[in-house]
Amino acid sequence: MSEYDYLNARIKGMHSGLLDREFYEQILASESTAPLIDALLSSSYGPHLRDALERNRSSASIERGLRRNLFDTFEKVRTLAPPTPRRLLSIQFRKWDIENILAIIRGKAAGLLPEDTLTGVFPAGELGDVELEELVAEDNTKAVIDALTAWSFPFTFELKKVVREHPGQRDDTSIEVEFMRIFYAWALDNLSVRDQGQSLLRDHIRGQLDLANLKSVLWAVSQKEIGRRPDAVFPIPGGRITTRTLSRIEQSSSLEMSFEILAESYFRRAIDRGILTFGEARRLAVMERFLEIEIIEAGCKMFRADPLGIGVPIGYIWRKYNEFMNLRILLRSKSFGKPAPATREELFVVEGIGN
Amino acid sequence: MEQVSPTRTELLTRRAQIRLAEQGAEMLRSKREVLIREFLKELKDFSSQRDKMRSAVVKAIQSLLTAIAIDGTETLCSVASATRQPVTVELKKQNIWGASVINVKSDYSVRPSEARGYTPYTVSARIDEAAGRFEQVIDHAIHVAPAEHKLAVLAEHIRKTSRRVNALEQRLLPSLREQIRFIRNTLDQREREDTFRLKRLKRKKTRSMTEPDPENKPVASGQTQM
Repeated sequence: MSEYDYLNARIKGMHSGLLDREFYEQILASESTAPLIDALLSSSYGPHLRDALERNRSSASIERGLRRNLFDTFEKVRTLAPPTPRRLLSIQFRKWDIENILAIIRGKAAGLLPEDTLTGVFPAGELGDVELEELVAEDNTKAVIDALTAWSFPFTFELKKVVREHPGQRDDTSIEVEFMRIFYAWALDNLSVRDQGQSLLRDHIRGQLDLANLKSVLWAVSQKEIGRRPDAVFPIPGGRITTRTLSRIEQSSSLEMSFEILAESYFRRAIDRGILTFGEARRLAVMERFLEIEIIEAGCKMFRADPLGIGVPIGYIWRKYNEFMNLRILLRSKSFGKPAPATREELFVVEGIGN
Repeated sequence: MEQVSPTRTELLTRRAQIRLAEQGAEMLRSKREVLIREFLKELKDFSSQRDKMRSAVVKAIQSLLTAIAIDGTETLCSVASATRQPVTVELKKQNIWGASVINVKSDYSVRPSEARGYTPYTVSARIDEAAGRFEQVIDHAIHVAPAEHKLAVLAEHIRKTSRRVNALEQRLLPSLREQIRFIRNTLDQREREDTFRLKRLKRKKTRSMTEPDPENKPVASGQTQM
Protein backbone atom coordinates (compact mmCIF):
# COMPACT_ATOMS: atom_id res chain seq x y z
CA MET A 1 0.00 0.00 0.00
CA SER A 2 1.40 3.36 -1.04
CA GLU A 3 1.95 6.25 1.38
CA TYR A 4 -0.47 8.25 -0.73
CA ASP A 5 -3.48 5.93 -0.74
CA TYR A 6 -5.07 7.03 2.52
CA LEU A 7 -4.00 10.69 2.14
CA ASN A 8 -5.29 10.94 -1.42
CA ALA A 9 -8.57 9.22 -0.55
CA ARG A 10 -9.18 11.70 2.26
CA ILE A 11 -8.19 14.63 0.08
CA LYS A 12 -10.46 13.52 -2.73
CA GLY A 13 -13.26 13.51 -0.16
CA MET A 14 -12.33 17.06 0.89
CA HIS A 15 -12.07 18.04 -2.77
CA SER A 16 -15.73 17.23 -3.33
CA GLY A 17 -16.61 20.02 -0.90
CA LEU A 18 -14.93 22.71 -3.01
CA LEU A 19 -17.19 25.32 -4.57
CA ASP A 20 -18.11 24.95 -8.23
CA ARG A 21 -18.81 27.38 -11.10
CA GLU A 22 -22.55 27.37 -10.39
CA PHE A 23 -21.87 28.76 -6.89
CA TYR A 24 -19.74 31.62 -8.27
CA GLU A 25 -22.33 32.45 -10.93
CA GLN A 26 -25.10 32.63 -8.33
CA ILE A 27 -23.05 34.98 -6.19
CA LEU A 28 -22.04 37.08 -9.21
CA ALA A 29 -25.72 37.51 -10.06
CA SER A 30 -26.52 38.77 -6.55
CA GLU A 31 -26.50 42.44 -5.53
CA SER A 32 -24.89 42.36 -2.08
CA THR A 33 -22.68 40.27 0.19
CA ALA A 34 -25.69 38.79 2.04
CA PRO A 35 -26.28 35.87 -0.40
CA LEU A 36 -22.53 35.09 -0.30
CA ILE A 37 -22.56 34.97 3.51
CA ASP A 38 -25.71 32.83 3.56
CA ALA A 39 -24.28 30.43 0.99
CA LEU A 40 -20.97 30.15 2.86
CA LEU A 41 -22.69 29.59 6.20
CA SER A 42 -24.33 26.48 4.77
CA SER A 43 -21.03 25.20 3.32
CA SER A 44 -17.82 23.84 4.86
CA TYR A 45 -16.95 27.46 5.73
CA GLY A 46 -19.94 27.60 8.13
CA PRO A 47 -18.22 26.97 11.51
CA HIS A 48 -15.29 29.33 10.79
CA LEU A 49 -17.58 32.00 9.44
CA ARG A 50 -19.97 31.80 12.39
CA ASP A 51 -17.03 32.34 14.77
CA ALA A 52 -15.76 35.27 12.72
CA LEU A 53 -19.20 36.88 12.42
CA GLU A 54 -19.82 36.84 16.16
CA ARG A 55 -18.52 40.40 16.50
CA ASN A 56 -19.86 41.94 13.28
CA ARG A 57 -20.68 41.17 9.64
CA SER A 58 -18.00 43.37 8.08
CA SER A 59 -15.94 42.27 5.06
CA ALA A 60 -12.87 42.06 7.31
CA SER A 61 -14.68 39.63 9.65
CA ILE A 62 -15.84 37.47 6.75
CA GLU A 63 -12.32 37.43 5.33
CA ARG A 64 -11.00 36.43 8.75
CA GLY A 65 -13.36 33.46 8.72
CA LEU A 66 -12.28 32.47 5.20
CA ARG A 67 -8.62 32.72 6.17
CA ARG A 68 -9.12 30.60 9.27
CA ASN A 69 -10.84 27.95 7.17
CA LEU A 70 -7.95 27.95 4.68
CA PHE A 71 -5.29 27.66 7.40
CA ASP A 72 -7.17 24.86 9.18
CA THR A 73 -7.66 22.99 5.90
CA PHE A 74 -3.94 23.22 5.13
CA GLU A 75 -3.17 22.07 8.66
CA LYS A 76 -5.49 19.11 8.16
CA VAL A 77 -3.70 18.17 4.93
CA ARG A 78 -0.35 18.36 6.74
CA THR A 79 -1.68 16.23 9.61
CA LEU A 80 -3.02 13.58 7.24
CA ALA A 81 0.21 13.33 5.25
CA PRO A 82 2.67 10.52 5.98
CA PRO A 83 6.43 11.42 6.07
CA THR A 84 7.28 11.49 2.33
CA PRO A 85 4.27 13.50 1.13
CA ARG A 86 4.65 15.64 4.27
CA ARG A 87 8.23 16.53 3.25
CA LEU A 88 7.14 17.39 -0.31
CA LEU A 89 4.16 19.39 0.88
CA SER A 90 6.40 21.38 3.20
CA ILE A 91 8.40 22.54 0.16
CA GLN A 92 5.29 24.23 -1.21
CA PHE A 93 4.24 25.54 2.21
CA ARG A 94 7.67 27.10 2.82
CA LYS A 95 6.84 29.58 0.03
CA TRP A 96 4.31 31.22 2.38
CA ASP A 97 6.83 30.97 5.22
CA ILE A 98 9.48 32.89 3.31
CA GLU A 99 6.94 35.56 2.37
CA ASN A 100 5.93 35.85 6.04
CA ILE A 101 9.56 36.13 7.11
CA LEU A 102 10.01 38.94 4.59
CA ALA A 103 6.88 40.65 5.97
CA ILE A 104 8.36 40.45 9.48
CA ILE A 105 11.72 41.79 8.28
CA ARG A 106 9.94 44.68 6.52
CA GLY A 107 8.08 45.43 9.74
CA LYS A 108 11.34 45.37 11.74
CA ALA A 109 13.06 47.68 9.23
CA ALA A 110 10.12 50.10 9.36
CA GLY A 111 10.04 50.02 13.17
CA LEU A 112 6.44 48.77 13.32
CA LEU A 113 4.81 47.54 16.51
CA PRO A 114 4.50 43.74 16.68
CA GLU A 115 0.70 43.87 16.35
CA ASP A 116 1.02 46.01 13.20
CA THR A 117 3.59 43.62 11.71
CA LEU A 118 1.24 40.71 12.41
CA THR A 119 -1.41 42.23 10.15
CA GLY A 120 1.02 41.65 7.27
CA VAL A 121 1.50 37.90 7.70
CA PHE A 122 -0.51 35.08 6.15
CA PRO A 123 0.10 31.96 8.24
CA ALA A 124 -0.75 29.42 5.55
CA GLY A 125 2.68 27.80 5.62
CA GLU A 126 4.51 25.61 8.09
CA LEU A 127 4.95 28.52 10.49
CA GLY A 128 1.65 28.97 12.27
CA ASP A 129 0.20 31.88 14.25
CA VAL A 130 2.18 31.06 17.40
CA GLU A 131 5.55 30.80 15.64
CA LEU A 132 4.94 33.99 13.69
CA GLU A 133 3.98 35.85 16.85
CA GLU A 134 7.24 34.65 18.41
CA LEU A 135 9.21 35.86 15.40
CA VAL A 136 7.48 39.23 15.38
CA ALA A 137 8.36 39.68 19.05
CA GLU A 138 12.09 39.27 18.31
CA ASP A 139 14.22 42.43 18.48
CA ASN A 140 15.78 42.42 15.03
CA THR A 141 16.24 40.48 11.80
CA LYS A 142 19.21 38.56 13.14
CA ALA A 143 17.19 37.41 16.15
CA VAL A 144 14.39 36.32 13.80
CA ILE A 145 16.80 34.11 11.83
CA ASP A 146 18.33 32.78 15.06
CA ALA A 147 14.86 31.75 16.25
CA LEU A 148 14.23 30.01 12.92
CA THR A 149 17.55 28.16 13.29
CA ALA A 150 16.48 27.01 16.74
CA TRP A 151 13.27 25.59 15.22
CA SER A 152 15.29 23.69 12.55
CA PHE A 153 13.88 25.84 9.76
CA PRO A 154 15.71 24.92 6.55
CA PHE A 155 18.22 27.18 4.74
CA THR A 156 18.71 29.45 7.78
CA PHE A 157 22.49 29.29 7.28
CA GLU A 158 22.10 31.01 3.89
CA LEU A 159 19.54 33.48 5.27
CA LYS A 160 21.91 34.39 8.10
CA LYS A 161 24.67 35.05 5.59
CA VAL A 162 22.41 37.37 3.56
CA VAL A 163 21.33 39.26 6.69
CA ARG A 164 25.00 39.72 7.64
CA GLU A 165 25.75 41.14 4.18
CA HIS A 166 22.74 43.51 4.21
CA PRO A 167 22.72 45.01 7.67
CA GLY A 168 19.35 46.68 7.99
CA GLN A 169 19.22 49.46 5.36
CA ARG A 170 15.56 50.25 4.97
CA ASP A 171 15.55 50.73 1.21
CA ASP A 172 17.69 47.70 0.52
CA THR A 173 15.36 45.42 -1.42
CA SER A 174 18.11 43.03 -2.45
CA ILE A 175 17.58 41.11 0.81
CA GLU A 176 14.10 40.18 -0.48
CA VAL A 177 15.50 38.96 -3.81
CA GLU A 178 18.21 36.99 -2.02
CA PHE A 179 15.68 35.34 0.28
CA MET A 180 13.59 34.26 -2.72
CA ARG A 181 16.74 33.04 -4.48
CA ILE A 182 17.66 30.93 -1.42
CA PHE A 183 14.15 29.51 -1.14
CA TYR A 184 13.94 28.46 -4.80
CA ALA A 185 17.44 26.97 -4.77
CA TRP A 186 16.56 24.95 -1.66
CA ALA A 187 13.19 23.86 -3.07
CA LEU A 188 14.66 22.69 -6.40
CA ASP A 189 17.55 20.93 -4.64
CA ASN A 190 15.08 18.95 -2.57
CA LEU A 191 13.00 17.72 -5.49
CA SER A 192 14.31 14.84 -7.53
CA VAL A 193 13.90 14.88 -11.29
CA ARG A 194 13.76 11.10 -11.43
CA ASP A 195 10.60 10.62 -9.35
CA GLN A 196 7.48 11.40 -11.42
CA GLY A 197 5.54 13.11 -8.64
CA GLN A 198 8.53 15.10 -7.42
CA SER A 199 9.34 16.07 -10.98
CA LEU A 200 5.79 17.41 -11.40
CA LEU A 201 6.11 19.46 -8.21
CA ARG A 202 9.58 20.60 -9.30
CA ASP A 203 8.16 21.85 -12.60
CA HIS A 204 5.45 23.67 -10.73
CA ILE A 205 7.94 25.34 -8.36
CA ARG A 206 9.96 26.34 -11.43
CA GLY A 207 6.77 27.85 -12.86
CA GLN A 208 6.33 29.92 -9.69
CA LEU A 209 9.95 31.02 -10.04
CA ASP A 210 9.27 31.97 -13.67
CA LEU A 211 6.36 34.11 -12.53
CA ALA A 212 8.57 35.95 -10.00
CA ASN A 213 11.26 36.52 -12.67
CA LEU A 214 8.68 37.61 -15.23
CA LYS A 215 7.11 40.10 -12.82
CA SER A 216 10.53 41.60 -12.38
CA VAL A 217 11.56 41.86 -16.05
CA LEU A 218 8.12 43.02 -17.21
CA TRP A 219 8.16 45.66 -14.51
CA ALA A 220 11.55 46.83 -15.86
CA VAL A 221 10.04 47.08 -19.37
CA SER A 222 7.04 49.03 -18.07
CA GLN A 223 9.44 51.46 -16.36
CA LYS A 224 11.30 51.93 -19.66
CA GLU A 225 7.99 52.69 -21.38
CA ILE A 226 7.41 55.67 -19.09
CA GLY A 227 10.91 56.98 -19.71
CA ARG A 228 12.63 55.72 -16.58
CA ARG A 229 15.86 53.78 -16.52
CA PRO A 230 15.38 50.89 -14.11
CA ASP A 231 18.27 48.98 -12.56
CA ALA A 232 19.31 45.84 -14.38
CA VAL A 233 17.30 42.76 -13.36
CA PHE A 234 19.20 39.64 -12.33
CA PRO A 235 16.73 36.79 -12.70
CA ILE A 236 16.77 33.98 -10.17
CA PRO A 237 18.16 30.90 -11.94
CA GLY A 238 16.34 27.58 -12.09
CA GLY A 239 13.10 28.48 -13.84
CA ARG A 240 11.62 26.89 -16.96
CA ILE A 241 12.09 30.10 -18.93
CA THR A 242 15.76 30.50 -19.74
CA THR A 243 17.83 33.45 -18.56
CA ARG A 244 18.41 34.30 -22.22
CA THR A 245 14.68 34.62 -22.90
CA LEU A 246 14.25 36.71 -19.76
CA SER A 247 17.09 38.93 -20.89
CA ARG A 248 15.45 39.32 -24.34
CA ILE A 249 12.19 40.28 -22.64
CA GLU A 250 13.99 42.79 -20.44
CA GLN A 251 15.60 44.39 -23.48
CA SER A 252 12.26 44.92 -25.28
CA SER A 253 11.24 48.51 -25.72
CA SER A 254 7.54 47.93 -25.08
CA LEU A 255 5.33 45.55 -23.15
CA GLU A 256 3.71 44.34 -26.40
CA MET A 257 7.11 43.27 -27.71
CA SER A 258 7.94 41.50 -24.46
CA PHE A 259 4.60 39.65 -24.60
CA GLU A 260 5.44 38.52 -28.12
CA ILE A 261 8.67 36.98 -26.84
CA LEU A 262 6.88 35.52 -23.83
CA ALA A 263 4.29 33.95 -26.15
CA GLU A 264 7.04 31.63 -27.39
CA SER A 265 7.05 29.99 -23.95
CA TYR A 266 4.41 27.98 -22.07
CA PHE A 267 2.79 31.31 -21.12
CA ARG A 268 1.40 31.53 -24.66
CA ARG A 269 -2.14 30.70 -23.53
CA ALA A 270 -2.02 33.36 -20.81
CA ILE A 271 -0.83 35.95 -23.33
CA ASP A 272 -3.56 34.95 -25.80
CA ARG A 273 -6.19 35.22 -23.06
CA GLY A 274 -4.98 38.53 -21.71
CA ILE A 275 -3.71 40.50 -24.69
CA LEU A 276 -7.09 42.07 -25.56
CA THR A 277 -7.82 43.12 -22.01
CA PHE A 278 -4.29 44.44 -21.73
CA GLY A 279 -4.72 46.34 -25.00
CA GLU A 280 -7.79 48.10 -23.61
CA ALA A 281 -6.26 48.95 -20.22
CA ARG A 282 -2.55 49.29 -21.14
CA ARG A 283 -1.66 48.27 -17.59
CA LEU A 284 0.91 45.66 -16.62
CA ALA A 285 -1.22 44.66 -13.62
CA VAL A 286 -3.90 43.36 -16.01
CA MET A 287 -1.56 41.00 -17.86
CA GLU A 288 0.15 39.96 -14.63
CA ARG A 289 -3.16 38.55 -13.38
CA PHE A 290 -3.38 36.33 -16.49
CA LEU A 291 0.17 35.10 -15.89
CA GLU A 292 -0.68 34.36 -12.25
CA ILE A 293 -3.78 32.46 -13.34
CA GLU A 294 -1.60 30.35 -15.62
CA ILE A 295 0.50 29.26 -12.63
CA ILE A 296 -2.55 28.74 -10.40
CA GLU A 297 -4.14 26.65 -13.15
CA ALA A 298 -0.97 24.57 -13.48
CA GLY A 299 -1.08 23.96 -9.71
CA CYS A 300 -4.75 23.01 -9.83
CA LYS A 301 -4.13 20.64 -12.76
CA MET A 302 -1.68 18.61 -10.67
CA PHE A 303 -4.73 17.13 -8.93
CA ARG A 304 -5.51 15.13 -12.06
CA ALA A 305 -1.98 14.92 -13.52
CA ASP A 306 -0.68 12.68 -10.72
CA PRO A 307 -3.75 10.94 -9.24
CA LEU A 308 -1.74 8.40 -7.24
CA GLY A 309 1.03 10.62 -5.90
CA ILE A 310 1.87 14.05 -4.54
CA GLY A 311 -0.13 15.72 -7.34
CA VAL A 312 -3.41 15.15 -5.44
CA PRO A 313 -2.50 17.03 -2.22
CA ILE A 314 -0.57 19.73 -4.08
CA GLY A 315 -3.40 20.15 -6.60
CA TYR A 316 -5.90 20.30 -3.74
CA ILE A 317 -3.85 22.96 -1.93
CA TRP A 318 -3.86 25.11 -5.05
CA ARG A 319 -7.55 24.54 -5.69
CA LYS A 320 -8.38 25.45 -2.10
CA TYR A 321 -6.12 28.52 -2.24
CA ASN A 322 -7.69 29.54 -5.55
CA GLU A 323 -11.14 29.13 -4.01
CA PHE A 324 -10.10 31.36 -1.11
CA MET A 325 -8.83 33.99 -3.57
CA ASN A 326 -12.07 33.77 -5.59
CA LEU A 327 -14.17 34.21 -2.46
CA ARG A 328 -12.07 37.17 -1.38
CA ILE A 329 -12.46 38.76 -4.82
CA LEU A 330 -16.23 38.14 -4.73
CA LEU A 331 -16.54 39.47 -1.20
CA ARG A 332 -14.63 42.66 -1.92
CA SER A 333 -16.31 43.17 -5.29
CA LYS A 334 -19.78 42.78 -3.79
CA SER A 335 -19.04 45.12 -0.90
CA PHE A 336 -17.57 47.76 -3.24
CA GLY A 337 -20.34 47.32 -5.83
CA LYS A 338 -18.02 46.25 -8.63
CA PRO A 339 -19.89 45.13 -11.76
CA ALA A 340 -20.17 41.37 -12.31
CA PRO A 341 -18.34 41.27 -15.71
CA ALA A 342 -15.28 43.02 -14.23
CA THR A 343 -15.33 40.66 -11.25
CA ARG A 344 -15.68 37.62 -13.50
CA GLU A 345 -12.45 38.61 -15.30
CA GLU A 346 -10.52 38.46 -12.03
CA LEU A 347 -11.85 35.07 -10.99
CA PHE A 348 -10.30 31.80 -11.99
CA VAL A 349 -12.76 28.92 -11.77
CA VAL A 350 -11.37 25.41 -11.94
CA GLU A 351 -13.53 23.18 -14.09
CA GLY A 352 -14.51 19.70 -12.92
CA ILE A 353 -15.06 20.60 -9.27
CA GLY A 354 -18.16 19.30 -7.59
CA ASN A 355 -18.67 16.47 -10.08
CA MET B 1 -30.94 107.99 16.13
CA GLU B 2 -28.43 108.32 18.92
CA GLN B 3 -28.47 111.34 21.15
CA VAL B 4 -26.68 114.13 19.31
CA SER B 5 -25.94 117.54 20.69
CA PRO B 6 -26.75 119.93 17.87
CA THR B 7 -23.72 122.14 18.04
CA ARG B 8 -21.45 123.46 15.35
CA THR B 9 -18.49 121.51 16.81
CA GLU B 10 -20.55 118.34 16.64
CA LEU B 11 -21.40 119.18 13.02
CA LEU B 12 -17.73 119.54 12.18
CA THR B 13 -16.91 116.28 13.98
CA ARG B 14 -19.66 114.46 12.09
CA ARG B 15 -18.45 115.86 8.77
CA ALA B 16 -14.93 114.66 9.57
CA GLN B 17 -16.38 111.25 10.46
CA ILE B 18 -18.21 111.07 7.13
CA ARG B 19 -15.04 111.89 5.23
CA LEU B 20 -13.19 109.19 7.15
CA ALA B 21 -15.99 106.65 6.61
CA GLU B 22 -16.11 107.43 2.88
CA GLN B 23 -12.36 107.01 2.62
CA GLY B 24 -12.61 103.75 4.59
CA ALA B 25 -15.40 102.44 2.35
CA GLU B 26 -13.41 103.35 -0.72
CA MET B 27 -10.37 101.57 0.63
CA LEU B 28 -12.41 98.51 1.58
CA ARG B 29 -13.96 98.44 -1.89
CA SER B 30 -10.45 98.45 -3.39
CA LYS B 31 -9.41 95.70 -0.99
CA ARG B 32 -12.45 93.67 -1.96
CA GLU B 33 -11.66 94.11 -5.64
CA VAL B 34 -8.08 92.91 -5.12
CA LEU B 35 -9.25 89.95 -3.04
CA ILE B 36 -11.85 89.00 -5.65
CA ARG B 37 -9.26 89.25 -8.40
CA GLU B 38 -6.89 87.03 -6.37
CA PHE B 39 -9.77 84.65 -5.57
CA LEU B 40 -10.76 84.26 -9.23
CA LYS B 41 -7.15 83.73 -10.30
CA GLU B 42 -6.69 81.05 -7.63
CA LEU B 43 -10.08 79.51 -8.44
CA LYS B 44 -9.12 78.97 -12.07
CA ASP B 45 -6.01 76.95 -11.10
CA PHE B 46 -7.81 75.26 -8.23
CA SER B 47 -10.66 73.91 -10.37
CA SER B 48 -8.33 72.21 -12.81
CA GLN B 49 -6.08 70.91 -10.02
CA ARG B 50 -9.03 69.57 -8.05
CA ASP B 51 -10.41 67.81 -11.14
CA LYS B 52 -7.03 66.19 -11.67
CA MET B 53 -6.89 65.15 -8.04
CA ARG B 54 -10.42 63.78 -8.11
CA SER B 55 -9.68 61.55 -11.10
CA ALA B 56 -6.38 60.50 -9.47
CA VAL B 57 -8.25 59.54 -6.27
CA VAL B 58 -10.82 57.52 -8.22
CA LYS B 59 -8.07 55.64 -10.08
CA ALA B 60 -6.07 55.10 -6.87
CA ILE B 61 -9.06 53.70 -5.01
CA GLN B 62 -9.91 51.38 -7.90
CA SER B 63 -6.33 50.06 -7.89
CA LEU B 64 -6.38 49.67 -4.13
CA LEU B 65 -9.66 47.76 -4.17
CA THR B 66 -8.34 45.38 -6.84
CA ALA B 67 -5.14 44.89 -4.85
CA ILE B 68 -7.11 44.23 -1.65
CA ALA B 69 -9.33 41.72 -3.44
CA ILE B 70 -6.55 39.76 -5.16
CA ASP B 71 -3.44 40.22 -3.02
CA GLY B 72 -5.22 40.53 0.32
CA THR B 73 -4.93 43.03 3.14
CA GLU B 74 -2.03 41.15 4.73
CA THR B 75 0.23 41.63 1.68
CA LEU B 76 -0.80 45.26 1.39
CA CYS B 77 -0.12 45.89 5.09
CA SER B 78 3.31 44.31 4.80
CA VAL B 79 4.25 46.23 1.65
CA ALA B 80 2.84 49.45 3.11
CA SER B 81 5.22 49.14 6.06
CA ALA B 82 8.15 48.92 3.65
CA THR B 83 7.08 51.79 1.46
CA ARG B 84 6.28 54.36 4.16
CA GLN B 85 8.02 57.71 3.74
CA PRO B 86 7.61 61.04 5.46
CA VAL B 87 6.21 63.89 3.37
CA THR B 88 8.07 67.10 4.20
CA VAL B 89 6.40 70.41 3.45
CA GLU B 90 7.55 73.96 4.09
CA LEU B 91 4.82 76.33 5.21
CA LYS B 92 5.20 80.02 4.33
CA LYS B 93 2.81 82.77 5.39
CA GLN B 94 1.71 85.31 2.77
CA ASN B 95 -0.26 88.47 3.41
CA ILE B 96 -2.78 89.57 0.78
CA TRP B 97 -4.36 92.85 1.97
CA GLY B 98 -4.53 91.59 5.53
CA ALA B 99 -5.66 88.09 4.56
CA SER B 100 -3.05 85.77 5.96
CA VAL B 101 -2.71 82.67 3.72
CA ILE B 102 -0.31 79.78 3.95
CA ASN B 103 1.71 78.71 0.94
CA VAL B 104 3.08 75.16 0.90
CA LYS B 105 6.37 74.28 -0.68
CA SER B 106 7.46 70.68 -0.98
CA ASP B 107 10.05 68.75 -2.94
CA TYR B 108 7.79 65.68 -2.83
CA SER B 109 7.49 63.75 -6.07
CA VAL B 110 6.17 60.38 -7.15
CA ARG B 111 8.95 57.88 -6.55
CA PRO B 112 10.11 55.40 -9.12
CA SER B 113 8.99 51.87 -8.19
CA GLU B 114 12.48 50.73 -7.19
CA ALA B 115 12.65 53.47 -4.56
CA ARG B 116 9.53 52.24 -2.76
CA GLY B 117 11.32 49.68 -0.61
CA TYR B 118 10.07 46.48 -2.19
CA THR B 119 10.92 44.38 -5.18
CA PRO B 120 8.70 43.20 -8.03
CA TYR B 121 9.88 39.65 -7.27
CA THR B 122 7.66 39.64 -4.21
CA VAL B 123 5.13 42.36 -4.94
CA SER B 124 2.55 42.36 -7.72
CA ALA B 125 2.15 45.10 -10.32
CA ARG B 126 -1.31 45.73 -8.83
CA ILE B 127 0.18 46.83 -5.51
CA ASP B 128 2.89 48.84 -7.25
CA GLU B 129 0.21 50.52 -9.37
CA ALA B 130 -1.89 51.34 -6.28
CA ALA B 131 1.21 52.71 -4.49
CA GLY B 132 2.14 54.86 -7.50
CA ARG B 133 -1.38 56.19 -7.86
CA PHE B 134 -1.65 57.10 -4.20
CA GLU B 135 1.69 58.90 -4.43
CA GLN B 136 0.17 60.90 -7.29
CA VAL B 137 -2.78 61.70 -5.04
CA ILE B 138 -0.37 63.01 -2.37
CA ASP B 139 1.41 65.05 -5.03
CA HIS B 140 -1.92 66.61 -6.10
CA ALA B 141 -3.00 67.10 -2.47
CA ILE B 142 0.16 69.09 -1.72
CA HIS B 143 -0.93 71.56 -4.41
CA VAL B 144 -4.67 71.44 -3.89
CA ALA B 145 -4.77 71.67 -0.07
CA PRO B 146 -3.02 75.09 0.20
CA ALA B 147 -5.03 76.39 -2.77
CA GLU B 148 -8.24 75.30 -1.05
CA HIS B 149 -7.07 76.90 2.19
CA LYS B 150 -6.16 80.10 0.32
CA LEU B 151 -9.58 80.20 -1.35
CA ALA B 152 -11.34 79.66 1.97
CA VAL B 153 -9.33 82.46 3.63
CA LEU B 154 -9.89 84.81 0.66
CA ALA B 155 -13.59 84.02 0.55
CA GLU B 156 -13.88 84.71 4.28
CA HIS B 157 -12.03 88.01 3.86
CA ILE B 158 -14.17 88.99 0.88
CA ARG B 159 -17.29 88.28 2.95
CA LYS B 160 -15.87 90.21 5.90
CA THR B 161 -14.84 93.16 3.72
CA SER B 162 -18.23 93.22 1.99
CA ARG B 163 -19.94 93.24 5.39
CA ARG B 164 -17.73 96.16 6.43
CA VAL B 165 -18.39 98.07 3.21
CA ASN B 166 -22.09 97.45 3.64
CA ALA B 167 -21.96 98.53 7.26
CA LEU B 168 -20.23 101.75 6.26
CA GLU B 169 -22.41 102.45 3.23
CA GLN B 170 -25.77 101.26 4.48
CA ARG B 171 -25.61 102.09 8.16
CA LEU B 172 -22.83 104.41 9.32
CA LEU B 173 -22.83 106.90 6.47
CA PRO B 174 -26.64 107.33 6.31
CA SER B 175 -26.73 107.62 10.08
CA LEU B 176 -24.00 110.27 10.07
CA ARG B 177 -25.72 112.11 7.24
CA GLU B 178 -28.96 111.98 9.18
CA GLN B 179 -27.22 113.34 12.23
CA ILE B 180 -25.66 116.16 10.16
CA ARG B 181 -29.06 116.93 8.71
CA PHE B 182 -30.50 117.03 12.19
CA ILE B 183 -27.70 119.23 13.52
CA ARG B 184 -27.93 121.51 10.51
CA ASN B 185 -31.70 121.75 10.85
CA THR B 186 -31.41 122.47 14.51
CA LEU B 187 -28.67 125.01 13.94
CA ASP B 188 -30.68 126.60 11.12
CA GLN B 189 -33.72 126.69 13.31
CA ARG B 190 -31.70 128.18 16.06
CA GLU B 191 -30.26 130.72 13.65
CA ARG B 192 -33.69 131.61 12.37
CA GLU B 193 -34.93 132.01 15.90
CA ASP B 194 -31.93 134.17 16.71
CA THR B 195 -32.51 136.24 13.61
CA PHE B 196 -36.17 136.53 14.45
CA ARG B 197 -35.38 137.47 18.05
CA LEU B 198 -32.77 139.98 16.91
CA LYS B 199 -35.18 141.41 14.38
CA ARG B 200 -37.83 141.76 17.05
CA LEU B 201 -35.36 143.39 19.34
CA LYS B 202 -34.26 145.70 16.57
CA ARG B 203 -37.82 146.51 15.71
CA LYS B 204 -38.54 147.12 19.31
CA LYS B 205 -35.49 149.27 19.62
CA THR B 206 -36.31 151.23 16.51
CA ARG B 207 -39.87 151.72 17.66
CA SER B 208 -38.69 152.84 21.02
CA MET B 209 -36.36 155.31 19.42
CA THR B 210 -38.96 156.79 17.08
CA GLU B 211 -41.89 156.80 19.51
CA PRO B 212 -41.42 159.16 22.48
CA ASP B 213 -41.43 157.49 25.73
CA PRO B 214 -44.71 158.15 27.36
CA GLU B 215 -42.93 158.46 30.60
CA ASN B 216 -40.57 161.02 29.10
CA LYS B 217 -43.44 163.10 27.68
CA PRO B 218 -43.09 166.75 28.47
CA VAL B 219 -44.97 167.49 31.59
CA ALA B 220 -47.96 169.73 31.52
CA SER B 221 -47.69 173.02 33.24
CA GLY B 222 -48.04 172.86 36.89
CA GLN B 223 -46.69 169.27 36.88
CA THR B 224 -43.16 168.45 37.74
CA GLN B 225 -41.28 165.38 36.73
CA MET B 226 -40.22 163.15 39.54
